Amino acid sequence: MSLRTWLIRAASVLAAAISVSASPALADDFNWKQAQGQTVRVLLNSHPWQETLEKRIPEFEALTGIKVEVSSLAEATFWDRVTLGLSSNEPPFDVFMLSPNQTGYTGYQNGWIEPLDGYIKDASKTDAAYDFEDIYKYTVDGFRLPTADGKVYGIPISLETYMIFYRTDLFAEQGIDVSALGTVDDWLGALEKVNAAYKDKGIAAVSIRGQDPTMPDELLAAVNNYWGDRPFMAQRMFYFDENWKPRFTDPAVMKGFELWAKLLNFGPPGVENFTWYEVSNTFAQGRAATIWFDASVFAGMLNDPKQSTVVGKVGYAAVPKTETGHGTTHWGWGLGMTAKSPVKDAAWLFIQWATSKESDLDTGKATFGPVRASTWAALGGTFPPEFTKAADESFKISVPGYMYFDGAREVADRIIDAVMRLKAGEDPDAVMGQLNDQAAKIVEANHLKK
Amino acid sequence: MQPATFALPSRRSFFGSRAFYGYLFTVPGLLVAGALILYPLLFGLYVSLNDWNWASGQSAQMTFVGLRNYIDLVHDELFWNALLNTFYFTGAALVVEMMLGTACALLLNSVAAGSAFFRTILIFPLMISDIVAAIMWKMLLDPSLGFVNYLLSLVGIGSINWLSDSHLVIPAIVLIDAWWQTGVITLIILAGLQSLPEEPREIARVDGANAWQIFVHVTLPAITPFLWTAAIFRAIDLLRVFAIVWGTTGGGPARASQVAQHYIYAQGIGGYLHIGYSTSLAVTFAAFICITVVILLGLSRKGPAE
Amino acid sequence: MRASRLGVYASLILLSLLFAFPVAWLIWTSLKLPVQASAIPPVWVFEPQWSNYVDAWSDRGFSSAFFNTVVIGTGTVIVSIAFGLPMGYSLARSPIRGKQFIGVSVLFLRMLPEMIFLIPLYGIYRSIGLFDTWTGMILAFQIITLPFAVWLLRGFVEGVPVDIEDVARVDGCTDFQVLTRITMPLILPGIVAAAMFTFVSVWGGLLFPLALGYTRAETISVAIANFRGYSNFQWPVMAAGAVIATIPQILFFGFIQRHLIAGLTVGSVKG
Repeated sequence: MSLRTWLIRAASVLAAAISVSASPALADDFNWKQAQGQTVRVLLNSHPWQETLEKRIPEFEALTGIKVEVSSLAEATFWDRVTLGLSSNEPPFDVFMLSPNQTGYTGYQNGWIEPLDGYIKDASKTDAAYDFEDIYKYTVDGFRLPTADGKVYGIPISLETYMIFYRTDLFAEQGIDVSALGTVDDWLGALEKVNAAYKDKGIAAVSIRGQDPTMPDELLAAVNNYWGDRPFMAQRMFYFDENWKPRFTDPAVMKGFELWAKLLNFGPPGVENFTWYEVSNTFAQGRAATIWFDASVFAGMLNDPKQSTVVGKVGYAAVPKTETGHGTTHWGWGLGMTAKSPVKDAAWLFIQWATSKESDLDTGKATFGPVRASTWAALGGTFPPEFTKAADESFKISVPGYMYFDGAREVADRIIDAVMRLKAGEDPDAVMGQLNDQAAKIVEANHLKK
Repeated sequence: MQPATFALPSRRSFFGSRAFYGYLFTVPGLLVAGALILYPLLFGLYVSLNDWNWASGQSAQMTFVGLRNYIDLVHDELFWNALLNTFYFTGAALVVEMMLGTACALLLNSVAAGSAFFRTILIFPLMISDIVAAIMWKMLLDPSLGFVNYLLSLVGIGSINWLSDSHLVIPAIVLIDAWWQTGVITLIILAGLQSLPEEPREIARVDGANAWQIFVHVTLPAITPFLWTAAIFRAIDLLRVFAIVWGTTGGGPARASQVAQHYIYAQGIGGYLHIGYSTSLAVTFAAFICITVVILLGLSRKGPAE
Repeated sequence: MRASRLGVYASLILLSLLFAFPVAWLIWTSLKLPVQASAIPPVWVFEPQWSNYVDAWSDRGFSSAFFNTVVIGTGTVIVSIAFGLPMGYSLARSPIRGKQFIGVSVLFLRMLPEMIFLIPLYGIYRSIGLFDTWTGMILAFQIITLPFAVWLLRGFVEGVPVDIEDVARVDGCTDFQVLTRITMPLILPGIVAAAMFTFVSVWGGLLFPLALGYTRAETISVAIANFRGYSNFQWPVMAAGAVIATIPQILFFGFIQRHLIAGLTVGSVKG
């Protein structure tokens, strides 16, 4: 799958490079004012994408004559409001930021969100210059529900892949040549060195997510790295086979979990409670030598002198390979539309505009994770070269990291508990065996075996 | 001689009688309470008898399952863990806050000069909203980047894992809540102290009692009703703690700080979307709170006789 | 006598330091840059970023959330005292049937975890148009503030000797006049405490505004929680917002202090 993806990507980059130079920004004969006078309500999560887009909303209002009311919230409040809103008969918003494995799946199950294929294909509703194919197919597929053959329920807006960040100065001081670190074991050796040298100076070797509810998403990357080319079912990921039998005692899964526990033990005090914020902030404050399995979008913040003390000392690397495989995962946000919105056409105009080529070009600079091939082609040179190399390599070896099915949240919580127990030194066979049992119970409680 | 209150002519109409005013004063409040509270409560009770799982596409209809949610929660060890955490937290915080709050009130009451200034400072944390207090203390108690550990390191104490050590996390939250809400106790006890008449204390002083004896034998019995009021109300709010846990630890590490309302939230709209089950947890937890309050009320009635 | 006086002041100073230092730290942090704010050892000398306060105030929705919460807070206090004072009085004094039961049910309502109310209230509010309105929030907060006001005020009324009121009744006063002219001035500290607590509950309440508010009736708690962005966690700006948010509390308390002092004087002369 990874090779095919790479070929498709290469082809689309080529096609995009040609099309960008050939076509004008907006086709002249598309009627942007077809929903003039209406109001579209948008609910967004605080994110670099949102911050950049909000500045340009007046452009949209001028272009279409549609009034936009935006509410942007921090993550915790965002999830609650999105869920409550979608469940109501009259959601207080029309367009919202969509996470495929969380709100997306639940939304689809409950009929809360609108499929968008009809709008994309309708020439009267979609500008010819929109160029939907320019958006990476594998990201779009993540928003197809219930499987990758289903309808599209969200348009991707940002993309992140899970990789490694490291302190170039500290590694140089220890005489470690990062390009020579090819495998996980090589890196672990380097971490030992860094740990011995800097731990007493208050710099931990590793910064990584702990009991964050989203940690299982990144953990999928660690597991994929050991999984190799074996098949797995898309939404169950590696953890359940075709008959819903749990596979937590599979050697690859166990090695992935154990690696995570090992990395946690290289972490600073308090790492057990680390969320994405602590992970990036600890590194930005110079208190960690590496970040493992976390989002490429951190690159923006780590290079901002107002937030980071390590500007200019940041190195990037793709996840190193293992004896059994080499892989990571990617994930992304999207924009969705509520099924009960009274202004669907106007909402579609907004979504279209916010995911257009111009928009992606603008937001891609802030997110370091654009979703269009044309944008990568245009921006590739502005990112730090090592980042582009690491991100390229990561995308080549990555698979979509979306786990969703009834009861997925409970399984995710049990996974977090298991990793913490492994960190505390409990016997892996016992811990993973119990996780298998718990997972089997959850499968049964949710009647997943049809 | 007739007692003053019964000098009412029997022909007096209902309107203008004491009973009339009694109803006039009570009924509006009851109407407000009934409208706002009764319907949601009854709806909540009904929901708790259903399986309403938004995570599996059931948001449009519920399935009536009778008492099954309640039977399930008896076997739910995470729920009992949450209850245990909640009572541990409440007990500890209540003791700390009552002692600290009463001490503050006594100190404030015994000085005239500057009392307004000190009172403002001691009450000040109440003016910080709970989410700010939570996030603030999360920063302060960070093991490596927090100011508290920095101060401790200056006197030679090593880095303490306040919020990530399962043994320390509840004491840490007690600390945060004590800083934040002791002012409530202080205010109530202070108001009580200042509404006391002076003579009993004067008389005792003239009789030769020292400050401690005056406190134990005169002041303490007089403010006991206020102490109980403060304790019961604080207990009710402590049992219902949510924002501090939500803003600092999210229930961790390994659910060591997951209190009841947080677990209810996690089972409901905050996570699993098992709305029916989550509501049944809420109803059961409400019952536990009631039992606790009834016990406390009973203890307060059994106080020293007049 | 001297030594104990000194001891009292020393204790008050120590306690004040303990209670005040986190707030001082908050103000100190609010003037830093994000990178300085989380630095250890702490950055002692820095250029104060007063712009953080401007940023906090002009951050989307903060200023309107501030204004909303002042309105909602004041409204809640007015409603809670207006309904709660008479109720507390009559539960203490009036010969009405079911007094005990009402008293207990009022307390019972206070005990319910807010979680029970969120989803039903959300549904009701959306259908009758109270969602995201000032009125809706004021009414919703009554669920937690009214029972407390009633209970507290009843306690204070019970602390007033009945004889004082009876004297007035013999003179022909109705209960309403007794309440307003005699009892109220005597229990002023209690009313102030109830008002204070009510205002604080609204100012700091998170769950109801989270579920029942959206943009027009957004309260300060949710607005502050929203400062946590993805890439730039604006901690100093959030601290500045938190400092701004406490100003009305201070003003409110300062205003009430005058009445608190007046009430205390009345109380001590009594008898």
